[in-house]
Amino acid sequence: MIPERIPLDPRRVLLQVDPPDRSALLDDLCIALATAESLPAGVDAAALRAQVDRALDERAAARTDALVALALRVQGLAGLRIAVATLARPLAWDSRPAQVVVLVAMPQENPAPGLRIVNQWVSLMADPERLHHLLGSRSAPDIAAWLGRHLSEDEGPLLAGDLMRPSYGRLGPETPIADITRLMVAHNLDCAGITDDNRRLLGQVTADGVFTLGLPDFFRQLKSVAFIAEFDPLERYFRQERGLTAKDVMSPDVATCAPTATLLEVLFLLSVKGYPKVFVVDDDNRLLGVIDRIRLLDRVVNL
Amino acid sequence: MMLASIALFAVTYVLLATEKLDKTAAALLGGCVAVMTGLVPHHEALAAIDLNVVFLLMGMMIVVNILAGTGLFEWLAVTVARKAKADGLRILLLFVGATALLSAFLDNVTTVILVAPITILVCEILELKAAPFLVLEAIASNIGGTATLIGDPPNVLIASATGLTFNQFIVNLTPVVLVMLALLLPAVALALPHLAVVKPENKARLLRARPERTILQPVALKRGLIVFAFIMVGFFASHALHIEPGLIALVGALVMAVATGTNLHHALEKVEWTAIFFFVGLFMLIGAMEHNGVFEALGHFILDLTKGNFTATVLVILWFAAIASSIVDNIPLVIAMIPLIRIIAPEFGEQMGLTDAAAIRAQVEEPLYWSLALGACLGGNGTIIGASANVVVSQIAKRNRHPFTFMEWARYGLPIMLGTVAISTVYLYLRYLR
Repeated sequence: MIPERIPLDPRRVLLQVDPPDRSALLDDLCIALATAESLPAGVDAAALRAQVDRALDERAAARTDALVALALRVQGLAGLRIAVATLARPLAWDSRPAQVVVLVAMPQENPAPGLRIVNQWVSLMADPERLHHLLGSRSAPDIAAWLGRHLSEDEGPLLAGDLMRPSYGRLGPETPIADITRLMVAHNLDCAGITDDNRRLLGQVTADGVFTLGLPDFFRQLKSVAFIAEFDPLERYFRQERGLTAKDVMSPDVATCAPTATLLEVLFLLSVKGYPKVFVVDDDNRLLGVIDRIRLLDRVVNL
Repeated sequence: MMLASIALFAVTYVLLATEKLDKTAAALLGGCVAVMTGLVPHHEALAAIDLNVVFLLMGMMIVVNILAGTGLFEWLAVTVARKAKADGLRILLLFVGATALLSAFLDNVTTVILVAPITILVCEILELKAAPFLVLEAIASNIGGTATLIGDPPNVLIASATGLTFNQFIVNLTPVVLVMLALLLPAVALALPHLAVVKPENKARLLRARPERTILQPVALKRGLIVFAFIMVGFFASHALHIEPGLIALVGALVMAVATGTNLHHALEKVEWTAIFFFVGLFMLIGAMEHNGVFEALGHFILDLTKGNFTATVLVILWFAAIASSIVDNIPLVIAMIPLIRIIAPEFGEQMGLTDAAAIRAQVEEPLYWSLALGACLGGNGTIIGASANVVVSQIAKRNRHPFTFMEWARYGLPIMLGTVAISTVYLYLRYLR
């Protein structure tokens, strides 16, 4: 089935704006959201703005390094409405700079398509090339058309493919542990997938695996170490890891699913089976994307 | 049928000794095959499973795990290390002594699992080699475990099969164990004087440890220790109360779980079920041999071999059990030897002119059982594979980058095994055979 594409009104695309603060930007976006088609009775830009504040209080924003996407549930809304702003200068947003801010208004009675759109925004903006394209554009109609091609409203349930984010670069079995841990720290990850030259998933390196390799086994038998006042052997313990590569630490036991896997399947792998991460792969076991616990949590709290 | 029973036992024993099959699977398979091939009736095989042993092992495993969860053993180790003023040799001697003491009341393997990690930590803080500490602790656990009914599985098996009480074990085995330890500790001090040399900054680090921080659940610890004291009183009084030690241990464990607020589900998860089913399988297998008269025939063979000389028989059992235990698992050996002793004892009683059953038990049966207990418990020290505690300690040492070889073990273990069995020989002779 060909997914239904989202028609985006160019009047709701604000490019290269330079608001004095976050509040002013949100005012502009709410006005843009209320533009054109009529809204349900009692819903106007001011009402939407109040709802944005409530959504922010409930921490309902989805984030990437550059994007803030807010989901608004509006009683009686006929269909989805999206307003987007790209910023001429990054705007401080919860201690991280935002470059793209999106409001997605969705019917209160049927939020799933709207949440899928939020997830698609997240996936889209996690791709550096697409982010660059959006930030560099000066034509609202072009961007509206471009976004319309990348966002789709499907009536089916949320799927793994909607939720996943791209992996942060390729890590191979010969990648030094030091490089892997640096990448994990940079992106706040506790687990990273290892692939071969054809991007086929081979296994994963977890923070716990790295700790296990360095920390002697006897610590696992102790009930606590709080009684040790002065003993810091970590440098000695972890010294041996310097020469190691991913294959020395990698665990082949990974959770994978197809892009068509349901949210329930992903939740089952993360929560019931206890995997730190689910890798989304194609039929040939090639890595397509990743779903972290936090990413899923961020999405399910919005359901 | 007798030959078939012996063959089945031999095959199982080979599987156990060579570790071709998981030892629990081998023992259970052996027991089940005995029943399925008609070597022993089903009801007899089930009756041969000694629930007193099973309950005692289960109960003590639960008790130890509850107490360990409170941080008690870390507290003990840190306190001992500080009392020793962070002197490496003093710490070694105190740890070895403490391990022997703990092992008298806890299973040997459990003892070393509790003691080894904190020992390695102390050694790493002091920058000392942990291997001599670990080897000597395993040896001490085997010696200390010999002292009481609950200290080592051979004693549990002997007590359960014979009705020998907790107090009888203390009266008959503890004195000789104390003599062994009294000789072992100075010998260790003489052999390893270099351990006393520790860098002052490392000493200072250990002395600044905070033992009070080791206790994670103070209320549970207090309650657990009170229940533990009651369990010990129960063991001492078990004969007078006509309650088997197994039941005391199991009830004590359940009371401790309730008193300390331990989730029973978690407490039962900590039971080493593979060990329990290992015993179950062996009991069934030995039941088949007993049913087919194997031990009766073997008893007559031993009587012929020793020409009815009681002293020789006691000492042969001691040394045979010791040497065999240093090579193979002592548990099946002891399970097999118990019915053998039961069969040969009346023959010796008759030879010695004893007609009273109580006299035969006191003068013939008991010395034979003490020799079996001493041989089986102490023999394991001879080699790195001689006792479960040795194997467990060597695995812990290897995993933690403090490995020791077969020969390094033998350097300490073999002379200590020969020395302690020699002391046992003198003890048995002076106390029971003169």
